[in-house]
Amino acid sequence: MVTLAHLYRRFDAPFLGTLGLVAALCLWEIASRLKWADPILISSPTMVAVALKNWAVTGALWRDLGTSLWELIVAFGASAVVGIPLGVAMGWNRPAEYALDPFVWLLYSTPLVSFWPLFIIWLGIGVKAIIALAFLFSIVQIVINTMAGVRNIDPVLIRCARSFDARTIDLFFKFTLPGALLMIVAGLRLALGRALIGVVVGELFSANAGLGFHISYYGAKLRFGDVFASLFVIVVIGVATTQLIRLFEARLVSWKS
Amino acid sequence: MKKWERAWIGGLAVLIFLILWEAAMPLGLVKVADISRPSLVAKAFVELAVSGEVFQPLVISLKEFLVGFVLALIVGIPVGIVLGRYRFFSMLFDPLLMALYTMPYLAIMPLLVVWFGVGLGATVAVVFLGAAFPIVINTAVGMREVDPVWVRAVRSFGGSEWDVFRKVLLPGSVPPMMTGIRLGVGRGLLGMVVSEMYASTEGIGGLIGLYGNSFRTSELIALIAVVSVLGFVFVDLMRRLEGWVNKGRAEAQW
Repeated sequence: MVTLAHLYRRFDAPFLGTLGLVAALCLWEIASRLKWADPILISSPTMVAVALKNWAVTGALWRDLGTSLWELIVAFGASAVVGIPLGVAMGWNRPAEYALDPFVWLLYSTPLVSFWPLFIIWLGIGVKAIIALAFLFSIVQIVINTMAGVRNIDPVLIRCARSFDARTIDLFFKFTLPGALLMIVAGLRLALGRALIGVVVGELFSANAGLGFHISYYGAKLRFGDVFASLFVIVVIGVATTQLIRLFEARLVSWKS
Repeated sequence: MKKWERAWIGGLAVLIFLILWEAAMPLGLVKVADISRPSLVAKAFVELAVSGEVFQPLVISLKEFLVGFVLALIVGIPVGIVLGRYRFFSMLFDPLLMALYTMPYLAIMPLLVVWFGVGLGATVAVVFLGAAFPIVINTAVGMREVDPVWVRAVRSFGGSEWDVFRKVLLPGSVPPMMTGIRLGVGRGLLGMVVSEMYASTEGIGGLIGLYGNSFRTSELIALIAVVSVLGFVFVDLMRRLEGWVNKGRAEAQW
């Protein structure tokens, strides 16, 4: 029995963590089966699994997933393309920072969904408005992180390079950008999560396809198994895409040191 | 001069933006959509304020937000303390908590509406969910980051668990806790607006939805400005509070 105690001590974190997850799922299932709460209202893990299977079998899952992923990629890509140069300009050039600062902070502290009706008026109900909302959610984070990354580069390094007669453009590409890269990538990672929220919320409000649409459609029909199935898929997307960027970050760190 | 550089450049940029915006529609720079004009927005704002139409929803929204947020504090801080102090509980609940934290809390809006009812119930619930997680997690991280040497020091002078908690852990974990609370404010406000726009016609979000549906852009932008100012004031307040609490401490970022 010594070995068992040993094993437990070594793997107590994953063991207890899994135990917690499994226990929560069991509790949920039991609560539903024994009708501690109305099974229609709380659903149950098995109902969610069945809903997920049906969703995949009919092929609707792939359509919804495709729609949401497409919106996510377009919004996130566009916000990176616009946000990184903006952030670099703000970090590199003081007047640019002072000029853009009020707008960035305004957007940072505004609950951004309030722009949604405006997007509907300007872009019409549909994919464009959803992409616009997700773009807005994501770009603020990218700009702020990029700016901070460019700003925080050790001034000694810059002065050192200057004293070796480095041209500004060299300075920029050889010192500033690589130095800021980690912060920029971290910003992208956070922004991706925010973009996903933007996509889901936009779809929740109005869409005819996508994961958020699936939630609001089946939510209205009180088929909560399908709602939870959709939430599950959203979490999987969020974790998978974030892990992808984390891997990239880990690479960067090892390359830097 | 240097001191005022930030203020005047920023002010100038905002001014230029407003002038461009004012001129854009009359000069036909924007043809496709109604982007309104700052003067029209200001007029709409004054009308909303004078008629008092904006105040009642604002009060409702603030009430919903405060109830949800205070609940999040009452539940979040003790849970965070337990998770941060006792390794057993943190190992048991961490994965579960992380799974729930990665779930976009705004996406369960349709469930909350059915569970807690349209209006007050659903909004309080979503504010609570949005605010509670960052508070729990940052409080727990704060408790864990306290140097164990201090805990041992109190113990070796015969201090009880309560002494450890009161003299070392609580003061030590306040800065990260404040960070969590600030994050919670932002997420809570977002949840409040989403909930009101999604399900109810009450509150400031409901009003935004209403004017959005009738395509009245000027009023809509005026209301967005109100929500922006609300968000700005809250976040700024939290930032000040945080700065005040953190005075003379190194910041521990999570």
